[in-house]
Amino acid sequence: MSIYNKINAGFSLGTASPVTAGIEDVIYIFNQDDFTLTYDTTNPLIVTGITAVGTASIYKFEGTNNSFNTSSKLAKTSVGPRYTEEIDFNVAGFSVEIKTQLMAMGYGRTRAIVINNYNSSDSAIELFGAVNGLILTDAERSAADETLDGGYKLKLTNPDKLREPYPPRAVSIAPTSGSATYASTLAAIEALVSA
Amino acid sequence: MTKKYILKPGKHQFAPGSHAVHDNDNLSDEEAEWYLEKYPHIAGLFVEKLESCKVGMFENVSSESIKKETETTPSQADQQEYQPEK
Repeated sequence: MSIYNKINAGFSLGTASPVTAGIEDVIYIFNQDDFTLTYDTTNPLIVTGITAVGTASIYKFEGTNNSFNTSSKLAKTSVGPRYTEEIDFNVAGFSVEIKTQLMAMGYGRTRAIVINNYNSSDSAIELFGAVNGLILTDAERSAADETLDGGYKLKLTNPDKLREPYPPRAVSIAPTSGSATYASTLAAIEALVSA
Repeated sequence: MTKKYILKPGKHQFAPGSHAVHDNDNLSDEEAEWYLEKYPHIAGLFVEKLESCKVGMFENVSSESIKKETETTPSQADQQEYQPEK
């Protein structure tokens, strides 16, 4: 299937589960150069494998209370549609280690995987920053902030003026035998998380 | 001629951030060996050789057939022993 400029399918509400909002309060972030990706042979919107270079790990950022969010928007350009990506999350903590990690993310070149609450979709688990990576554009801590109680409010987005050529990719990793499911993809990602 | 190095299905990146172009159609064994030397992490992208699996299966079959043979011989020996008594 080549994704180009002619639509070839419609949409109708049916017996499939109704769409629901929100993402899980967990984000998997990794350095761009630490992992190579494998894409579906015919569809660049599907990532079918994530392979570590050397001893690299994925890092898990957890939150609570449905406080994480993602958004993706189409941007019109003279050379076709491009896509901007944003991940809003927070860190409910305050330490030198946290500041170190946030400083590192401020230099960019990270990728992130999020998990949508609507997990019956084949795009339940999404990868952001597939081509240009993500950079931390907002890392704000107001010590007396009542919504975050002194935690960090964070935003990862595409680097300035760099947009993605495709919407966020679906991550769909099969087990050693059988076809890919939500569970097999989650297990594959968790296996790469640092202990 | 069968290839020694077979990639798992899909289009793979060998270097992080590269265009995902590598698949079985454009990777010869010599290229695979060269890439494996430069990028050791891609070893996980290749299918494991099938020969090791086949050896395991033959071992199971032979042990089962041995068990069946040992079960039949004692009964035959018992029948032979009873005959002289009659």
